[in-house]
Amino acid sequence: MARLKVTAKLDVSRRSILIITLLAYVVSPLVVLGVLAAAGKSPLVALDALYRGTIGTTAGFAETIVQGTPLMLLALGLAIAFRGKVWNIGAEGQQVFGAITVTWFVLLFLKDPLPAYVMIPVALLLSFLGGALFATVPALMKSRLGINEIITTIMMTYVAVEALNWLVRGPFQDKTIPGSYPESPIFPAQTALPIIVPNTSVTIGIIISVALCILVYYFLFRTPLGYSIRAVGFNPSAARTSGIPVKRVINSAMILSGALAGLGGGIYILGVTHELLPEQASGIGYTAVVVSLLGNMHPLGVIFSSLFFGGLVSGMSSVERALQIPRTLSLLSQGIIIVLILIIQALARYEIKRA
Amino acid sequence: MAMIVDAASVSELIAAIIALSVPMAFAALGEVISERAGVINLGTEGVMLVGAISAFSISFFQHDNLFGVLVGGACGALMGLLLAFVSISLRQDQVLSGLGIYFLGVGLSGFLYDIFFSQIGSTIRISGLPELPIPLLSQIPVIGDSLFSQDIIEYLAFVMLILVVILVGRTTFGLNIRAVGENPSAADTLGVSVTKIRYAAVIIGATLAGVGGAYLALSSHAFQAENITAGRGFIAVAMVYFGKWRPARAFFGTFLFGAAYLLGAFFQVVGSIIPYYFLLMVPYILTLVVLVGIARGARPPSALGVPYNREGG
Amino acid sequence: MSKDTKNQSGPAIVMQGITKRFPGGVIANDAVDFELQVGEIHGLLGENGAGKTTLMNILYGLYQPDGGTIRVFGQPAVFGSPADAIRSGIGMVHQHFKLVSDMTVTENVVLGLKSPKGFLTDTSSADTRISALAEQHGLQVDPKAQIWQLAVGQQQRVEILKALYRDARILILDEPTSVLAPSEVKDFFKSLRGLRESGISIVLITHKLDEVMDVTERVTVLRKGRKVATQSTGSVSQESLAHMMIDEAIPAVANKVTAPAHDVILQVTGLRVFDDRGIEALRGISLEVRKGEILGIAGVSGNGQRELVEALVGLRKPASGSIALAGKDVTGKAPRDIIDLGLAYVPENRTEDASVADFRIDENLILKDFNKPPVCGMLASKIPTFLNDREIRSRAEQAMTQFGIRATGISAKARSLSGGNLQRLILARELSGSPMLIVVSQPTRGLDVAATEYVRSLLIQQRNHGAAVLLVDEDLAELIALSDRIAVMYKGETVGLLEPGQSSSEEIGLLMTGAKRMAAAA
Repeated sequence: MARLKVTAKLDVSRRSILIITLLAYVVSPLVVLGVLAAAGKSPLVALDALYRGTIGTTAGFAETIVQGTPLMLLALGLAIAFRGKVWNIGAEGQQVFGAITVTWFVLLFLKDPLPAYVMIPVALLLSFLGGALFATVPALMKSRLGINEIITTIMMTYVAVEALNWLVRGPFQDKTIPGSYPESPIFPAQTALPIIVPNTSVTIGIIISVALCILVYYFLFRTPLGYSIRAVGFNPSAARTSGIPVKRVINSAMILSGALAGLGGGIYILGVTHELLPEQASGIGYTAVVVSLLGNMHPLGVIFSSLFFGGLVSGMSSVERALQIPRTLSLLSQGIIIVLILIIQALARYEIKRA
Repeated sequence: MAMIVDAASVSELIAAIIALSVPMAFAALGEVISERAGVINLGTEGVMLVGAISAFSISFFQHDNLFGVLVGGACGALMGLLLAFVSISLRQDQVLSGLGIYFLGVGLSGFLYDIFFSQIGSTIRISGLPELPIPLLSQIPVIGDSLFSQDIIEYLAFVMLILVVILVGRTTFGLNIRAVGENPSAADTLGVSVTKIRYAAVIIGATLAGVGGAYLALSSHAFQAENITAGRGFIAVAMVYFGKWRPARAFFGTFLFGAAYLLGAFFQVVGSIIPYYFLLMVPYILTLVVLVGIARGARPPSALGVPYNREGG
Repeated sequence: MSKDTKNQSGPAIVMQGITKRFPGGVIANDAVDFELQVGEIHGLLGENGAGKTTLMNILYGLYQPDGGTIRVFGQPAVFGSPADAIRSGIGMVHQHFKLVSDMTVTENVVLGLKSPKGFLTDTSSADTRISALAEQHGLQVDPKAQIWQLAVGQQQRVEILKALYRDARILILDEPTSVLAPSEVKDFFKSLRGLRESGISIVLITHKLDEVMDVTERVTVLRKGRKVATQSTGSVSQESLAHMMIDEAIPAVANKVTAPAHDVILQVTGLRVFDDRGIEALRGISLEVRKGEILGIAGVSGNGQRELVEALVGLRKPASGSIALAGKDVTGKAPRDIIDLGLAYVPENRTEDASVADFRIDENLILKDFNKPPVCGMLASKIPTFLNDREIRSRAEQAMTQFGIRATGISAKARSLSGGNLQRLILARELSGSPMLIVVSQPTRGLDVAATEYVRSLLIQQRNHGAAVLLVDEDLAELIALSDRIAVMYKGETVGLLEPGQSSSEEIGLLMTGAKRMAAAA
């Protein structure tokens, strides 16, 4: 067997990054179709359902957006953190905490809600700040004590999830309905995010999210703080030598990503569920990690990758209905696609020659 | 408000702590091996899930619990092989590849459950493993019934602890693992294959996680897809950090965590004003507090998370 | 493979015509011949960058030569990895030890070897054998101790024991005394002689002339990748060795105006600095650099220059003493504060400390002032707002023309630049803005001729315009050509302060290698 020499490429060009990403986008639905074909289901029917579920119909497209919106903000925050080489695995906890903060505020005004143009911005701001606050603990533990942020953010996530479980069964529980359900009272109409596409659940949430992606793009590439985050992520030693306050930058990256995750949680609760439920901890914080990777940790790339994933989720439900297959098939496909994307991206970094 | 603490409830509590912690303990032991060699497996949760579904299925269809555990371990090994390939050979970032394994595990286990069991009915139960009381010791009041009358896998967990301690500390393989995780260049110079050792460590680690997941399914008797592990895999990874990469410390760390977790249940039984779910936050907060406390002494294996490149790239 | 050398009549090692090229055009070894007799201690002498370590790394299998042959005990040998060399009886102790710090001595020694007990490690019999070897060769160390607990000198013994345990008949030692205290050196040499008595052949890589005279039988001098000579130690003097080591050709440097005495810009007083291992690297050093002069710091690396530089630029806090920049105290201040006062720093490690490989040229150029005008817009003169793209672009274009940076454009990543162009980029960043003090380390290392000349002329230019320059350089000839005064550092102190015109390079070389000490050293 000939000896193969694998060497890391010196400079992965922007072009090849785009090609690899596109490749990943294309391969993924093919994987789904392949899995289905292996299960004996018709790929053509599946392809049709996939198309209708993602962009073919209004309902499908709306669902794509609804699924993709919360992912977008979380992945955006992660893009900032990961570019600073801060491994924030706790976006899940931060988004839950953002939702908790919103709930607290809404419940204060449950009987006597203020008008929407007050309630909504304040609530969203609070979710942003709540996420930031929640991320401050792991941030300080990392910068002051050098404690690995992977572990601390995971722990914080469980703190948030258990807090959620407690709150919806305790202080925040809706006591007015008979029985004991783990849910908060339904939020007043003044807190609902306005719907922008009639007869769907598409709210201004998507507009806010895309706007923030563009804002973060300018932040990362046009402001000094964004520049320093990127510098520290690429080469902390050179950054330090040039006078950049590395610890402060790490804190900023972590806290900002937590804030965006919190906001994502806030938009989800005000746009989709309109109450605090245990399902707020849906696991999108973890999915967002992969979405961020697929978007190359780039604020604009994240727009596409989160919509892509939203489409994946929406399309798969459509396929499930059309082919009468279990919901878990989407989960499986998602898992396979994620590993495949990781492999493709890793391979892109190398050249393989005969030795 | 009287606190009624009687022998039976304490005994039950101890038994519950053990049953809760044993899956994590297996996973933590495996993770220690993997991380000592320099590779972190964030997908332990997914590996445990795959171990759980395979053991559950074997137990249900073949009525052979022990074989189920074996298969659970074997499936874990396969997941480990995949992780090893992506993070060692392809040098993909370990955080990302670990999460990929997590998602794959979640999807695979849920899907397999649906395939095998969705037709069968609502509540599928399996018999679980019989208790094997140790003569005399199990007669000890209060603790004897729980501590010394466990099922075979629970005993195995403690045996495994001893084996892992010996493996890491007293075998050539363990020596290689430690060298490769601490100073791979030194090991490489002396002819130790960094790649092979890391592959082996990751696969062994994942096998143990698979066994842990298998036991979880068997001891739970029922299977709630997607939630049966409830984060135990991630906790196991945290416990390795908590135990400063020493097998015994990580192992008993999981029991401490289990005890803290069941504190809520204990107070619930005993009657307390602190709500159950609130107390569930305790073990996580406690872990964070302890981490702050031990922050100074904790030093991970120097090469942890860093793909090895002979030319130093 | 027989390791019995008593009946061998030929040399232990014969290396012929060894050539090694590295990417970037550097020729580390140029047709070098080297021979090691059985039972001799052979010194391999040369300045930094002469190719000594490369040559021995080739012998040890870490590198593969581009040309030439190797024979070990008469047998031709091709080493694909150190494991091959070890099997042929060669052991090497590197300058940076390859030890696993939280494993015991025994564990480090037996790593990679098959255990007699099969699966389990057999520490007790290994302990015994190691102790016996240690005793036999005067390298006592506690086999049960963990590496981090040992002093550096003891760690070195472990490295030697590693080789002896594997029945090494040939031992290569790379600058072994650089980590030893003077008192330890005597014992160390005693052990070396003992090893030689047992028939082990030793190559001693060093730059220290006194050691060569002390313990070697023969010495080979390398210079700029070529072998200069092999002599028996008895027949040479330190002076002639220094002469062989140092390149006489002093490059012509244009436009060097004689400097009148000016204000002191950098004042260092009694500076004591500890290195990462807790060893005192700077022992109360004092020096000053004036406006419009270049103070060269001569010395072989490892004598405190790195710690001096780090203390000056704010990367390492001194234990005591003071540093003042234009009268302002900057001791222990953060890099940001010192940069703001007018510091420019050109580090020796370009890719790690001076540039961000994945940043573009224009992004690298603003690394120090990205949050200040004109690069950054300001709100109310206090709050930074947005980066000014036009300004950044024009600065990059200007820099590329002015400093001759050759690249595909200002958007080229720093990673794609050659060494010379990367250095031009770094200089463009550091030297614009008329810095008051320029600290520069190994400015022309690894650069081609054109880049080297350019860098030198730049430094002279800055000096002529009034900058104070502290130049740390292992290239003695360059140092002599560029500096107005030279301070020689040895073991954390200045052992000499002189003017290049008044001293010969041999004299400086002797000071550098600790053979001499000037009476009036500050």
